Amino acid sequence: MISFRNRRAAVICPDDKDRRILGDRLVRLGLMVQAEAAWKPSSAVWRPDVVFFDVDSGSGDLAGSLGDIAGRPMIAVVGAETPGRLDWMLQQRPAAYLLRPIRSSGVYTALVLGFHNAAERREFVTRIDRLERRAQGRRVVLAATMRMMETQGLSEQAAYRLLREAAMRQRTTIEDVSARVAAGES
Amino acid sequence: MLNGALLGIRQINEVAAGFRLEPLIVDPGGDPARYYQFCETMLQRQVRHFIGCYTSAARREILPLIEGSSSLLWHPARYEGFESSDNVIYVGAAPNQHVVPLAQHMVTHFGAEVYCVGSDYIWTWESNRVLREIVASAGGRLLAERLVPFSDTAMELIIADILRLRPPVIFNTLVGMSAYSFFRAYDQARQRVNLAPVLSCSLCEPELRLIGKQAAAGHITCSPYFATLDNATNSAFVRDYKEAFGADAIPFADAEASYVCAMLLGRAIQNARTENASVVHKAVMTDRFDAPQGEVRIDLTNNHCFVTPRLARSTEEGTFEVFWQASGPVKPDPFLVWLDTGKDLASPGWPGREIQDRAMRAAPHLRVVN
Repeated sequence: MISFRNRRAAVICPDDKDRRILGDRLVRLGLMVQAEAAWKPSSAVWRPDVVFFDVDSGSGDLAGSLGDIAGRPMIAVVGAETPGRLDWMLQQRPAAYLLRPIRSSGVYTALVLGFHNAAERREFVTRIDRLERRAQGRRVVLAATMRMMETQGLSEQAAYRLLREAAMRQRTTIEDVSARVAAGES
Repeated sequence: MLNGALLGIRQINEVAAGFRLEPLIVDPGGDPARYYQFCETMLQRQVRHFIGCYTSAARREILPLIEGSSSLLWHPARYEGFESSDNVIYVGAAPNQHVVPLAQHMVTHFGAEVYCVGSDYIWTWESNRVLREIVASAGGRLLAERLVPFSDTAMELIIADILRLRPPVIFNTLVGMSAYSFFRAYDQARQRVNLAPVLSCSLCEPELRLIGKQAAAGHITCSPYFATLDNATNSAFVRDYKEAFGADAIPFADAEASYVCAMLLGRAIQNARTENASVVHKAVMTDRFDAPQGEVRIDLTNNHCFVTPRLARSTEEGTFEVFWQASGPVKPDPFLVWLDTGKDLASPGWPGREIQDRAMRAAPHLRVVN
């Protein structure tokens, strides 16, 4: 059971019928709602958990101005389905969308999808970061191994074993030890 | 638009057998919320056919009501496309019937470096987007994209910019007071130096007069209708229009399209022998109407109108001189499915192209707003 109780929703949308309906649906789903015609730096202070934004009237780099709430789900409210507007929508990297006119159904699905996609995207970014660091680390380990093979006449396995043992003794990572070895510290 | 529709309704009522069109006129004054409210009231009064909505914002506002009540909206205005409701008869030109022929003429005769100036809303954004693709495929680019808030009339900066850049051609999507102010300021500037003509899709006869006939002369508009079209149906239309609305009245594209809406509606009711919207809808699909702009008919696949795009130059008499027209009515293509610009809109990667790239550099959306 997915509940959005006490989640904060910022609705960046001109004051119109759809905004009222959307606000009403969100309140029914247990969210707290703050609606504004345009995103302001002060909007981030409230730390919304999800941001609904109007595509018809949107301009500029909304996603880039979210500050430290970037990464929270952005849900696009689409009116005109024209390529130019949809292109701008994509630049904000929405996790879900709603079509105007807003109806009684659809808001819950957009929330579920939005939170899911945003969480998954954050997870992907973390995982990519970790893999990139590890890939980078592999190069350093390789460089250190090579250096030890050359300077001390060791086999690859022996060099690697020495590095690993040094890391364990110093209670640090093999990448860390390798970085120092590769830099010529030992 | 109202005059055109009223004239059509009057002419239908003169020949209608067994029914009469009774116009119910409301003016929401451009306010989307009031469009919704008035439409709702009219539906309660059992109105099932609507003629009107100038902007896309207004049309989209009432679309849910129109679709929910199975009514028909007869829409006279040209628009940026990318819509196709089963409950709208789109009589105004679709993008492949206005901006595309204009852009193609532009790259052939003026070059592919274009200065764009327009009101800051969807009509400009989408027209400029289509233009950008067409000039890019011709090896050119948009030199600038100046977007002006509605009813802003301060044009000094833009004129100065144009004088500095001396673009070979200017594409204009300004509307209302902004457009009139721009054309007047442009005229002042071109009296001192040679400047390129301004190309538009919306500049029409009454606006030439509002700007000042001389100041508005020498520019180019793309439209299916101009009052100077030389054919018997149009001569009668212009005569009837002046008779109904005064000797000074001059019909123009939106008036003619509204007239066509009313005529198509009346003829379809006559043929269907009912005002039931779905039956009338079927009836209009088989109609071919000899309109002032030439023969029109509705495309079965998308509810848009076959119209004949034309290019005309404004004269010092406040009229337009047509210098090019398509060989016949052009099939409407609201989603620009058939536009080939070398850049395949439907290819994988569009519109998600560069999304990774964008995410990395978080590029700000480039938009110059004055």
